[in-house]
Amino acid sequence: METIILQLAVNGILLGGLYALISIGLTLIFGIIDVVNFAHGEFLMLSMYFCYWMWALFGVSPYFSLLLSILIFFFIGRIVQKLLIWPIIEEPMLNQIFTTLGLSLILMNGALLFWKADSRAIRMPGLAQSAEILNLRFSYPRVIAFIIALTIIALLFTFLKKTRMGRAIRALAQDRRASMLVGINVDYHYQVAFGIGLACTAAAGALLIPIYNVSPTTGQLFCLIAFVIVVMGGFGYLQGSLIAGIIIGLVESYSGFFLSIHLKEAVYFMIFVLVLLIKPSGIMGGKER
Amino acid sequence: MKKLMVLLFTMFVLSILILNVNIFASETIKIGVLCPFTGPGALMGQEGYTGIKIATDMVNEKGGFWGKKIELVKGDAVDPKIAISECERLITVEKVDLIIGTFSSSLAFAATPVAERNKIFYLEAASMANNINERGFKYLFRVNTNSRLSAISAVYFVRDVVIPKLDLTPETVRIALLFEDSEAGTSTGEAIKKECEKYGYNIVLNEHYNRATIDLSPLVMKLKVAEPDILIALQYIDDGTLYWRQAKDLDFNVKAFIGTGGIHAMSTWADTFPKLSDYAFVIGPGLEYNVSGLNSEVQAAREEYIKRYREEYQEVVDIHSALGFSACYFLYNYIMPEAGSTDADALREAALKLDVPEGGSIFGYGVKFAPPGHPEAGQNLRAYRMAKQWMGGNRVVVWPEELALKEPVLPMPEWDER
Repeated sequence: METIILQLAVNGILLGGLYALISIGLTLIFGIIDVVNFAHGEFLMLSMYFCYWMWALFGVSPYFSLLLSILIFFFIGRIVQKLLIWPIIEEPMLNQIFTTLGLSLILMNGALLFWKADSRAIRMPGLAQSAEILNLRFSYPRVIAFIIALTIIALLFTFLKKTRMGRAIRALAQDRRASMLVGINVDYHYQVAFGIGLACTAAAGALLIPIYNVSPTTGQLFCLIAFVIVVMGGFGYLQGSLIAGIIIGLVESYSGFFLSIHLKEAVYFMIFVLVLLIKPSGIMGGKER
Repeated sequence: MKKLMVLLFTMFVLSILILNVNIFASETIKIGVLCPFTGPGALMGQEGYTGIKIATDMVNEKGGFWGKKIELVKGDAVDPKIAISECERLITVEKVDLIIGTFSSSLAFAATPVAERNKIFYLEAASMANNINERGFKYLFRVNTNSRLSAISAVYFVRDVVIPKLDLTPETVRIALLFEDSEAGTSTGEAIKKECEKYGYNIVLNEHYNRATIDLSPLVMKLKVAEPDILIALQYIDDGTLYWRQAKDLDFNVKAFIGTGGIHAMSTWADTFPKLSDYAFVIGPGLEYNVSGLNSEVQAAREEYIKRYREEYQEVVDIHSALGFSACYFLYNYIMPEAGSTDADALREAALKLDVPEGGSIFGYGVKFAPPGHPEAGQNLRAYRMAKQWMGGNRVVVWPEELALKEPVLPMPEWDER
């Protein structure tokens, strides 16, 4: 029985790592530069498709496509920010929601148009392995995703804290007008932030494709959980997102086993509501970013 | 002048008599084919029609019935509302003698009351919903499996083959049921559970899950704890793929895995898991099996059908076409000859009398329709779906024994041995 309990913990933590991974980009975009990006899931889906096609057409492993994907989506992020987000940055949140929702629909239906509704899966026999350590099973793709998620979080954290550009982005998050007053090029830094946000999302996509199938609606599956994690984590705290992700992963794992698989979402939403009732600013929120 | 008037009058009367087709017996037997020829179900309806047409051509070439050829009249059931009006049209305007349909459950459910009201014999070839035959209709007969019979074919396979081959008994076997929770999964799961309980099998786990889930690890852990010998499942593409991956990750092994449709019935299964898909069983219809298990007339008909289909359409025979052909086989070889006419009551009596054993149709099964008073009145209770085993990227029939192309390989080796 102890093995079961420990295995459930391993499953939950690795799942939590995946959840944190998919919400890093949104943490930056929604949490830090405060843009409600409802197309988050769709960018994840597009990155998954990109890595899928790199594998299907050229036999390239998603772990290589990861780097290319990050670069491509960084530039896509800058373009999206410039053309779509910047014009509405001062508008009420509702406008942002509608704009990004519209973008989400366009991207989903675009994917449907080009690639049809069929689910795509990559086949990498080498990755379909798991290691057994101390009687516990660790799936390779999930462990890799967890490690890379931690790496990205660490890198992003350092970038935001220690570099000039990172500090400029944090300044923007605090007060847009004040930033302009002190000479920060707001437009440029928003672009960079959005670009980095999408680049992180693209990395997540590359790490998900060995685990999940992709179809035009795959992004919808992950979008809600990403928002939950960003809010629960404190609206822009990368460490908070990681903690929130792991909490939710563990809760799902244990409640799915001991209660019912149907209740796992109900349970984590209850916890989400509880956290917000007790600490409305999220797990780590309320402090200076 | 008087003679001229008499002549003209006689010609007038004769021409009325000749032109009035009701006075003379109809030249053809008119059979309405009610299925979706356009709209979302069009692929299935059109394919179904190819099978019906081939069967009808084969019969007409031999002279038809009672000196008359069969004429097929199409009714395009685009959606349930139009299915109703087309059914009305076939009956009241085209004056068909009977109807074959429908290749879609919602269309069949909507249109069949129209035929019942008008006392027209309705032969269902290929819709699956149980409720189509649960209304006690007198003139509605379904030759193919309903959802319940398709599902419990898995249990027949377990009963006849899996339990003995695994050296288990009905008392010792441990069965787990894992189904996605939409209508298909729920009704399949319910039917299988009931049938397992009938035989007294020990169901160690019975779980439904939402197919849009992003994690099945708690379920896999539950399965590990339950230690089933056999797992019966209905899974679609994304959840089926996720489950198989997570079962491997967590090293959950069963001696037999039986899919009842969904991903396990698709070539996607072998595409996604080139080697790991082996040993899994799937329940489903098919035309590739040991034909010596069929009676000789059916063998000949099957061969002729496949030959004509390939000549006219494509290499791979579509299952809906085969279902259309099969329904007509029942009609033209068993029901109509026994009935002697297309009168609905005669057809009905003939259908209820039928007692055709195994090997009597191109899907292997015979026919015995559930009698009036039975909860599934009009359903062919002998219909089932075959069990096939995936091996090397192909599915091969392993049950029933008479139609099996090879022995099933049991137990399924553990993950690290595959």
